[in-house]
Amino acid sequence: MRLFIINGSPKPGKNNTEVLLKNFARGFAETPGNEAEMFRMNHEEAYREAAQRFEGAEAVLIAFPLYSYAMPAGVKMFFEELEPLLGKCRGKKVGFLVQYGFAEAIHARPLEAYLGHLATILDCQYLGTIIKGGCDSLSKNEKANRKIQQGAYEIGKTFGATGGFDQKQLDTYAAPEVQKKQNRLLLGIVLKILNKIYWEASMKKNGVTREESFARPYGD
Amino acid sequence: MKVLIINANPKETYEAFDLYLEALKASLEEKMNEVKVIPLRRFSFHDCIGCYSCWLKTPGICCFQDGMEEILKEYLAADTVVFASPIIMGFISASLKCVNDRMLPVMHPFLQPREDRMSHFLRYSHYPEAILLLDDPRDGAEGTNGSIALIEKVYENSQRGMRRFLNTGQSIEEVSYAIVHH
Repeated sequence: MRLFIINGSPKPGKNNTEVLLKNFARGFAETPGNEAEMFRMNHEEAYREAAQRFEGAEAVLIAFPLYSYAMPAGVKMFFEELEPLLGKCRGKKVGFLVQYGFAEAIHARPLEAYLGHLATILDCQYLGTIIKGGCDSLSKNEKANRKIQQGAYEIGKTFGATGGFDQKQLDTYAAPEVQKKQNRLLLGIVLKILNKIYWEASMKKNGVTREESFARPYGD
Repeated sequence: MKVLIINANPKETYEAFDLYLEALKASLEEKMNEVKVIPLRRFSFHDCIGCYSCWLKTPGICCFQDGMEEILKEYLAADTVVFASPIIMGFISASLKCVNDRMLPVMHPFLQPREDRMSHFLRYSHYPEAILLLDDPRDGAEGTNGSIALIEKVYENSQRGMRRFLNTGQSIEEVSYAIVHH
């Protein structure tokens, strides 16, 4: 199978989406005869080019970070470029990959429903959506996130071998769905520590103190 | 009451949408509200690139100074903000999504639990009531039917609003009443 992979991360340079995609593609390529092509889509001409390439592709994986509960604006622009293809994509396989910082899968579930709908109105065969939270520092510290990478590899491998996603495998990878009631107190403590050692430390590198980080430049 | 209407209709040819918002503005003004309409078509905003400058380098201020800061100021000063968008490919327009993404500076990076999931701290103490006004599901392009419920699901849990939904299939009077009485 030939797979066209679109990386819709708007970030210049290194990005977390790419780390997951590299692993997915490696798994996909394990089946002889499979070929994946990666396309970086983060500026206006790229949305148009991606739409043209989408039209000719046999199978497409569209990957992006979750921004404000949904796809980044640029990825939406790309979807709008696909308007002439509505109802005309019979036989084309399309799947999605959504990654973000929050730990729980629930943040991306409503968007997942929309992505399934999008595949349907294009008349594509919907493969499913790979959801993975807890990816915020993935590209900065690849070694510390072996498990996240291994999971993307495994899903790619399954797809390469079977031509489809295994929803059970996707759900295991996406877990936890939500925070269980008994874990919430502990989560509060963990997040306080994370705010200090991750966010506060990152600000400090830029000379921003904790107090200054709460600035309200446009009101109160 | 101060009402801000963000017109995220990207298509000049879709006049009916703009006319609806003009009529809505007039109706709200009749009810003694101060109303401002910002048509996003007049601007060319940079997309958010996820650089986190607004969180980690210049707290509350985006790395792009392209006019979006004026919209953020208007947003924070309003009592109610109506995000008005046609449904395109079953979702809000890319131009409204761009504004949503660029609102990252009104949040703070720190994390906290919110019910069964993680969320961010809010930077400001007051936020406007936010309403998402979509176009008429009955006369939209292909793919519009069924889209409103999906869009509502995406935003109904959003932390700083867009939890209320209206559409231009409703009468001006009905929508204007719903905006004023919440």
